[in-house]
Amino acid sequence: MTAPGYVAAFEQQRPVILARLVEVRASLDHAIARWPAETAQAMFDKVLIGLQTLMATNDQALHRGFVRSFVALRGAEGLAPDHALRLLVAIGDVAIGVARAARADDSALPLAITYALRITARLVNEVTADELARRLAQRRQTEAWR
Amino acid sequence: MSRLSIRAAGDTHKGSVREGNEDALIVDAKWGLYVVLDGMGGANAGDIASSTARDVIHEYVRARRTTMAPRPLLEAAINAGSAAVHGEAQRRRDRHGMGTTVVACLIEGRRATIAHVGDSRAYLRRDGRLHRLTQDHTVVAELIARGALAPEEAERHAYKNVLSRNLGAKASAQIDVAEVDLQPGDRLVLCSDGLYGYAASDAIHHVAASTDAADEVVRDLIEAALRGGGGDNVTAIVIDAGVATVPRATMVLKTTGAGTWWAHRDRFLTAARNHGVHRSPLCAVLAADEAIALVAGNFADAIYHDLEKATGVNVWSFAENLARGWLGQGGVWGALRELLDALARSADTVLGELRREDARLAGMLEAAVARALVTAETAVGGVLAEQLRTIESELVRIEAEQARHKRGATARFGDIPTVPYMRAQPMIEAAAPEVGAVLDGARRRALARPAGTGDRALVARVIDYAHRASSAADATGDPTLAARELWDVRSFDEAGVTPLCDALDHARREHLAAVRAVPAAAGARVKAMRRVVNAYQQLATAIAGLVIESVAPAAAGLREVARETARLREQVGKNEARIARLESKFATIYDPELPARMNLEAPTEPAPSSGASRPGPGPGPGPGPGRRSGKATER
Repeated sequence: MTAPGYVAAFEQQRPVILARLVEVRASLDHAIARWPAETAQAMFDKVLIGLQTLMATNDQALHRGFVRSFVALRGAEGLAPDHALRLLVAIGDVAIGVARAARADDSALPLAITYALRITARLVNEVTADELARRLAQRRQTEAWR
Repeated sequence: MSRLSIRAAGDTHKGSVREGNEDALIVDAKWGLYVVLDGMGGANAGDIASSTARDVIHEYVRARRTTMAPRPLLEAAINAGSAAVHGEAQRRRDRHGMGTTVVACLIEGRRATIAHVGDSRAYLRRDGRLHRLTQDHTVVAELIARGALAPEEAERHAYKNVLSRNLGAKASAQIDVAEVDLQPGDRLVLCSDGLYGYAASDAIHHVAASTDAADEVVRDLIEAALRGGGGDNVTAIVIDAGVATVPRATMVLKTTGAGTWWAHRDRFLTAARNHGVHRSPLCAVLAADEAIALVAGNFADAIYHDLEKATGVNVWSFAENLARGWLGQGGVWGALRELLDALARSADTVLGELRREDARLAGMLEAAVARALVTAETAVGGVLAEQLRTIESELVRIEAEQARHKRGATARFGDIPTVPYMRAQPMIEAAAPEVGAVLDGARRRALARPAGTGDRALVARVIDYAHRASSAADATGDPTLAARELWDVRSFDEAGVTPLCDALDHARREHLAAVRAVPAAAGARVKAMRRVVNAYQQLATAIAGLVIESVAPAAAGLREVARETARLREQVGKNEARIARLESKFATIYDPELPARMNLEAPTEPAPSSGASRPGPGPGPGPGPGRRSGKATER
């Protein structure tokens, strides 16, 4: 089974998107603005690879693993899940912008990124909802002990 | 002088923290008038100040645009706005002190006249670079201009947000005016402090310097401010000079796409019914028709508003309200997810039909609807995370209560947690070997940085303590003890607190960067980072606890003073009201401008039923002294 054409287009444009992300990182997140360019680039690249894998395979279980570790890493830096979600959406928006600018006549890639972004946002919400359910159970348990 | 084609867009947002929006704006392409106002004042009068000034300035310019030169016109209009705000503030006691900033731009031909009062700003993008055209009228900016304050001290200055000029403080304002001859490709940006105060300056420069359309730049600027915390109302206007008039895809979408979507609204509602939107648990208390109209109808309207860039409920607000209402009353995420999916499927149905009519337009609309669904998920994610934070803080509170209960009422003050993390709280278990190795490696890397100033030594001490708090399982890792040792003999004032807080901040960043740089498995690094972040949170909270502990007696005194002040203020208010009532009565009874006979015949308030003696119509005692003595008695 061959991957759709927009996946190849994304692969081709990934370095441009990456360069653009590093360039505009201050507008994506204040914390990232203080990171060295290489560290920020490594993080952005992981997100882009995650999106590309999702577009190529449509494997949401695999993508959920990526999303979970991304949210966990941001959480370890003291950032809330909604913050991680906004960051992912902002990264996707930059990718869409670059894709549009590169090929104004072809809407397939921007649309594919938008769909990938929607799935990503949904998975972040799933992860957050799971965590919320755990905490609610913990509170019920704590209150039962009182 | 030849004219330039001008394209402008503006928008305002209440931000993420404020309840209301006290900003106001004018985008009037017909008269070339663009204004941003940022209101402030007690008793929620900030929005009154900004909207009053906005209306007066707009009306003034419209009435005199053809008869006055731009510069005097703009100055006079702003002065008229200031007089109106000042007058309103004088008339009503609850609006005393209200005022507004203003930055206004009037374009005639190629010349832009820019006037401002306060800290709202104007920028010019020319040749890819952004130049600031206005100087803030703040106490701090003026101290810097006079050389009385170093720029680096400004950020921490107590008066950094205090304005030195505004509209409304006096009947006329002291206005700064600049004039710019516009060139094709120039871009002007007007904004309130909610933009540059929260969006990173790099972000503003980058977004404003882009070649995107004005409305997209406005949207991106506001988003940058919201991402930066959105702690204030944010308003931005972007004015592009000499832009090409070729329609862009987004413009086609705005004009045609929104209309097409609106034309298919009923079809969307039918599809929503077919996909069972009304059967969602979120609609359980609604009749089917009502559910479709409320939920699917509002969602369709929200997408239309986003496409049209019109005011009204947008997709973000729709999704946020839906999620807040449902999750807030204990609803489960699964039901909300199903409803969002049903709405998405309904939109897909409509887009499928549209594709057969106009594939290109359907493609653009599909992208816009997909983006709207991303927005909806993001808004829902915000509500979920907010709930998570609430429940986590509740858990901390419950745990603290239990700990207090266990210790009993006889505990000494120092043993009672000032804040939940204040008690001695070593790590529950030692770090796993691979996590410990990451923590050790991170400590070495963080401490290996070259020693610099005296503060560097403090940063190194903080890193050392944080390392112990993040890795030791015994009392040596107790953050409360570490905080007390770090505090040492510091004074409880800015000179004592600030360097320590700065060191804490620097150490945290360096320490986390060091953890990130240690070559190890991602899982071990995540665990190590969590421990380090926890350690810094506990250290910071313990230090805050020490400060609270030291200022508690003074705070109690302050509360007492505040209570007494409030009581006196209330008394003064009552007395003023009484004086006003008596003066008004006196004015009704006795008007020195009128002949004595007319005063005698002046109507008075009806006599109370008790028959208490009050001056009435008809012949009576002499006009003045008797009434005055009555006033004096009452007073």
